[in-house]
Amino acid sequence: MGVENLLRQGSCLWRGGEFYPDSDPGIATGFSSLDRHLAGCGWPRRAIIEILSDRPGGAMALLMPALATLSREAKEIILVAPPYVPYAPGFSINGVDLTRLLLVKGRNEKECLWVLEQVLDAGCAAALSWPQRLSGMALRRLQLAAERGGGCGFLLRRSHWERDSSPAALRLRVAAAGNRVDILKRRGGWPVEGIELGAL
Amino acid sequence: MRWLAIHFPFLALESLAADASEQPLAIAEMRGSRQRILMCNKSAAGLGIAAGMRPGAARALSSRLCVLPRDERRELAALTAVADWSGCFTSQVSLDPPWGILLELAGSLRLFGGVDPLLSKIGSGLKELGYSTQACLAPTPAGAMLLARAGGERLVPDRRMLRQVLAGVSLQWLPLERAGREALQSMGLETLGDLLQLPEAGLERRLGPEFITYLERLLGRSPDPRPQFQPPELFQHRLELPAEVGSTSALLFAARRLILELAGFLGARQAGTQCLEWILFHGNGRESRFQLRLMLPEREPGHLQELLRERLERLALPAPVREIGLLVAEVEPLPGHPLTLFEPPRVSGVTPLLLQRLQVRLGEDSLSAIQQVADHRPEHAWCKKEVGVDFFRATEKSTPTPFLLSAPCGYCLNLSP
Repeated sequence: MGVENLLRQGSCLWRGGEFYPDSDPGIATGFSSLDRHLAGCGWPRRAIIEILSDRPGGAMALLMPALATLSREAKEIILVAPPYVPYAPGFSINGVDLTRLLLVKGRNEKECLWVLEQVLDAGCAAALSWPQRLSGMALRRLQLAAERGGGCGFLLRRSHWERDSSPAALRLRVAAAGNRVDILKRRGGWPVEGIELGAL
Repeated sequence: MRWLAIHFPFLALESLAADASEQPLAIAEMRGSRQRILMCNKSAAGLGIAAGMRPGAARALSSRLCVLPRDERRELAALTAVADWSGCFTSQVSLDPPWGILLELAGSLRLFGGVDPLLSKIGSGLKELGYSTQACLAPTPAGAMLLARAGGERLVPDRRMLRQVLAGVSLQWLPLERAGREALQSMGLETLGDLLQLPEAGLERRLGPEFITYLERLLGRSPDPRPQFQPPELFQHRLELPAEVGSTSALLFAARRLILELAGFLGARQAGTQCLEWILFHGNGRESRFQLRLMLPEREPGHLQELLRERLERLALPAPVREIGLLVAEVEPLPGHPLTLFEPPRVSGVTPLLLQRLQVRLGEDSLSAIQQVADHRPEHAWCKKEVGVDFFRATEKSTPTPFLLSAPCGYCLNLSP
């Protein structure tokens, strides 16, 4: 029996260089060029997703289509301690139902992390947060909470945190000026650089 | 008529919010000119302290023993609180001081699914409140109360049966003065059965006409009107702690009874509340207050307790607490959950309880939503708003009815032979 045969029939043998999509469908990102590279063809559910960018407020535009989809399904979106006031008409134009949006204010980083863990654990569909310094253990706890609750936790951080290791299921870097996304870490495949998204 | 008599044999002790495993505690009462121990808790009984002892003798057995005088006002307040709580089972409640209440249950049996489910619900509720009880369900209130006090839980379905059961009751349980009880004893009577065989005229001469009326009421031969308990407009309960409490966790334990009583109070009114005002009475005559504000009306005792725990964690007690009070002035209508044919869908995602917990922990202005405002100036085209009922209504709407189709659909009948 040749290796080719084994590869075709069994799931316990795979090629390291190839990308194997996940059977668990994710939430479509709204950018087909990005979806193609993600396991589950979208933002993975039950996971922490780190988006590194130096844009002010992080790369919110990248998330808008997914948030719109979730809010249309009457899922809750919770913004934990956003650094700026989210602009209601901006969300509305992108198709996000504002009644499904909830803002939580924490007094310090610790409290914000507590809130994030609580809402992810309870099964909130999408929780967004803008933490800066984050220990590996805190990230791991958030990842476990997301796995239990089944939602997505989006962490929007500055790009210099890229060097730290992270247990997040997906890490992206969004270029400050352009509309290019690099995948730093993903499930089922190797990092990919230079995914063009079209206008953000 | 089906009267449930509930007798609280340890009310003098249990009207204090005492933890069962705590320090030895005894209640003393004046008997004649001397104080005697009336009852004591388990840890005191374990030290050899028993009812009837003198407080001095009891203290000699253990220096840790705390002897408190009996306070009939406190007992009546506890009884009133229980009557208020039991309003969620029946509207016809009457007090039978010092240590009993009567509930008329004939009208509630169907709603609660029969005698056994209802009695077990009341029984477990009272146990949760922290009272030990003796109960009896009988056709007459006086008969039910006598059987409850005599002990042994019983169900007496009709009057014929009641007479039989009462015949076996010892005469010591009758509400008689000492002279009357001695007179009966000297006649050689032991049980109520012996007494009921005697001619009435003679008994009336010996024990007075009131006693004959009591016997007639006991057996249901003459009517026995009971004053109905009038539930108060607002919830205002206080609970005395047996010793000063300095930690918030011990406070939470005491608050549990108040929360359960509140749940009964709100359940009877099909209501919930959004504002619970807690009053802490400190030993030095001062008091401090704090409020527990909720986003949505709530009456579930488990939820209220969880929210209070979050609130108490942030609270610093200015001084040890002697007594705790709960005041609820405003109630909002809150219907109960409809019974469903199918299993209720599992609530996942962001529940009201979760958001309330966040709010209680983080502070009142920590949760908000945003909305658009029709204004041509971009900086005025939005505003903040409070998170309210509509946030949750949207989730409810989205859960599909399990068995209805979204549109009618025809189906063909094959009628040909």
